[in-house]
Amino acid sequence: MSTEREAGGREADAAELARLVEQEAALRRLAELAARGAERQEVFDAIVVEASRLLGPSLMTLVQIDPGGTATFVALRGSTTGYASGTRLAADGGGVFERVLHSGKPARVDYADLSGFRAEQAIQRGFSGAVGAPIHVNGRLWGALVASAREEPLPLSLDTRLATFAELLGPAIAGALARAELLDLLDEQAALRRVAELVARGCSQQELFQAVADEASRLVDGEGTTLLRLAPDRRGGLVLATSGAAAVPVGTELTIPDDDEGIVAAIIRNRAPARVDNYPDVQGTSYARDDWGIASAAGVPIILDDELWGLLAASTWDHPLPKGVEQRLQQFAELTGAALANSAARAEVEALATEQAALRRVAELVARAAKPEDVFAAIAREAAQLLAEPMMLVRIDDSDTLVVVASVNGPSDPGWSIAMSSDTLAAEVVRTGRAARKDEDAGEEAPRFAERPGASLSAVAAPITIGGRIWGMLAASSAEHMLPAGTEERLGQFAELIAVAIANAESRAALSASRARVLATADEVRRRIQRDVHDGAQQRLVHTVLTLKLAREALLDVGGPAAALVDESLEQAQRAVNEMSDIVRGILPAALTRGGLRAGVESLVVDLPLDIDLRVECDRLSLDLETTAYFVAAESLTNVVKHAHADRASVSIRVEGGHLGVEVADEGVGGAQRTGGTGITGLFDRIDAAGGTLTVTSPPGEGTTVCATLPLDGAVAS
Amino acid sequence: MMAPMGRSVLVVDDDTYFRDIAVRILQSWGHEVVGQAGSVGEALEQTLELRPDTAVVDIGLPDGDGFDLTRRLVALPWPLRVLVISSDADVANELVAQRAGAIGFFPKADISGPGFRRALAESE
Repeated sequence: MSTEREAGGREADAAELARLVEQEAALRRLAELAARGAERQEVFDAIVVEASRLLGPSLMTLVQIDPGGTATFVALRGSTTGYASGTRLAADGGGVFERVLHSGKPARVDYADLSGFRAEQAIQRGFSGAVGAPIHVNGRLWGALVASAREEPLPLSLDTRLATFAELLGPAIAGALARAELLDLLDEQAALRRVAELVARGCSQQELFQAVADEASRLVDGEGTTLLRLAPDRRGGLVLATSGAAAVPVGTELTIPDDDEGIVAAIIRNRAPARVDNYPDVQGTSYARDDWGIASAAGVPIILDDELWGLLAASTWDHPLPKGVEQRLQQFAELTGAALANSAARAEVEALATEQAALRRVAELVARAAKPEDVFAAIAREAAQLLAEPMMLVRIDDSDTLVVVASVNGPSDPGWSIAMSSDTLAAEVVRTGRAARKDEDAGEEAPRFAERPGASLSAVAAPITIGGRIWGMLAASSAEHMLPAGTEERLGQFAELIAVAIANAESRAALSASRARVLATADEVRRRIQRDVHDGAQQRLVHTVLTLKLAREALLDVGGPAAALVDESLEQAQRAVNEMSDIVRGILPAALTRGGLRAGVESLVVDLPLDIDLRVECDRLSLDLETTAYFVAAESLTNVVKHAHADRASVSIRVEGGHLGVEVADEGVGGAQRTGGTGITGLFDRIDAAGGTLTVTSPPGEGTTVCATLPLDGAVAS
Repeated sequence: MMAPMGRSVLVVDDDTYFRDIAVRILQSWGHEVVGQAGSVGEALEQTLELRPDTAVVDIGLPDGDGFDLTRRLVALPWPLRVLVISSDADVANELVAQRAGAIGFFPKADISGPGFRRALAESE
């Protein structure tokens, strides 16, 4: 018996030894694997392979259990029937790993003896029972190794063997995890670095947002991530970027009720990370669950300048998020905050640069002596572009009425006059001298820029102050959305910058207008003198000449000293007529006022010692315009005679596209300069006052061409 | 006795002194001055009433100018010859007068001379 027992014992010892050898070999292979730096998953897969080989159940599962109560199947081997690696289960189903989790000790279940949905599930899948053993890593419960049986009975010895093997797995898993942790850390750092590099390269804010969402999603195993910008009133926010299977589309504006129980409300309340593992369990309202069907979410605040700027969140449709998601998101939130501070600084610089460019364009327009209307239109256009909102430029006239001088999609067109009553935005700007805003409030009347129908949802106006007086204002408005925060500052800043340009344009226009008035008055005086002389002295003299001629005829037969005296009188009178004609024509030819530009220029060219090719293609124009054009031709032809050493010239006058063009060209010596004589300088003045342009092309040796373009609608604002 | 080859002439000028002297000259040449007018309005009125075959028209008139009047006179549905005169001898007036449809332009100082006399008497 004893021999048998001894033999039996030896057999058992031999079998035990063999198992120990196998187990030792299995552990060595796992250790070698871990030492080779295998991926975490590779180590997990090897564990179930080795355990299956060693213990031989239908299904061997390695389950990671986090203290929050979620179990993740990290590796399976055998007849899985529906379970897959990566499956996450809440550890509340009364199954074997729940028991291991709760007791921290090996556990055995026979599904036939059990109730609960986990048991039902297992039976449905054809399993009869399971044995689980805890795996501790670094002294803490990490998970469990679970052997499940289908038809075969689970031998009693399995409990101990499984427990022994599981106990020995700790170091291998710890090694794999440490390495994985290191890799994760490297991944995280690399992701952060990628985002940081993007920021350093000067990416746009939208690029930054997208990169943060993408990189964060990658780091939390591809879960959906959302970057949310909180509204200034903290009652909602705008989805700036998403990645993975995110729940809420980019561009969605969320409204978060005060009693919301979701993570966004929690983050707003506490400025701290928040998590909801199972939204269906949340009592009360939750937009995330009610509106978007989110199952689980975790998020962290993004703080900028000590303000809660927004948040970064991860969410799922159906399973709890792994632990530690917040920690990973947190790093991105911090980086985003820093990058935003950086990019906010740069955005400020960019905004400044954009403003400067806009201002420069307006200033150039002013320098080119553009009409105030054109300058105003440009200002409204630039401001509208800067803010990407409809814009009006409004002037306050002497009777405190608002006059729209330029508009880009604004509620009123240029030319509109608007009374400024006390409860309007415009009145507030005038009263405070500062930019102001009016937004539509629930229950209140829509904000009005001024006394006029056509209300906006949101309007901002900024004063334009010239010489200590409010000249007018720039007004941005939207009928569709609230103007963004900071619009007051930006518009105010631009209005300040633009005031100088407006002052310049106006004073220049005033100068031009007064010069135009002086010239017009002078021309009017010329015409009057010419008319007075023509109707008076010249008429009398002509009458005298004619009478003397008749007298001479009557004396024809008489002769003698009387006839001689009449001859002498006639000669003197005739000379006086001619001289007076010349004087009057020099002031302004009667032919110009009576017969128009063509007659005027014809009367001019007849007396000149030049062969002139004259082409005049226009009807009667305004007296001022005809006079200006006449002087262009007269001064230019005088210069040809005086300086060009030419014997021929051409004059071409024609109306084309709202302008009168006057061109005088010769084939003389060229080299004429604008400052050369008073005549041409006077012309520049005259044409400037008429709102026209004058160019003189005069290369030495190649003749001179004077070209004037005059607007048909007359001089600049008078 | 042959009927005189004279014209029936309307003299248009706002200066009555000049009209007097012009009438004397025209009559001395055997023309009949059927009317005298001091403005564009009077001239048009008398033309319709008196049907002159020739008009002597000053450029400067209080209610318009002689070129304008010329254009309106030559546009009438019966033949009417217009001679434009002015105390301003500017040759540009000649071109403008021709374009307006006048048969000629003469400085007032020259209307006693042979050029004007010939132009007045010429048949078309």
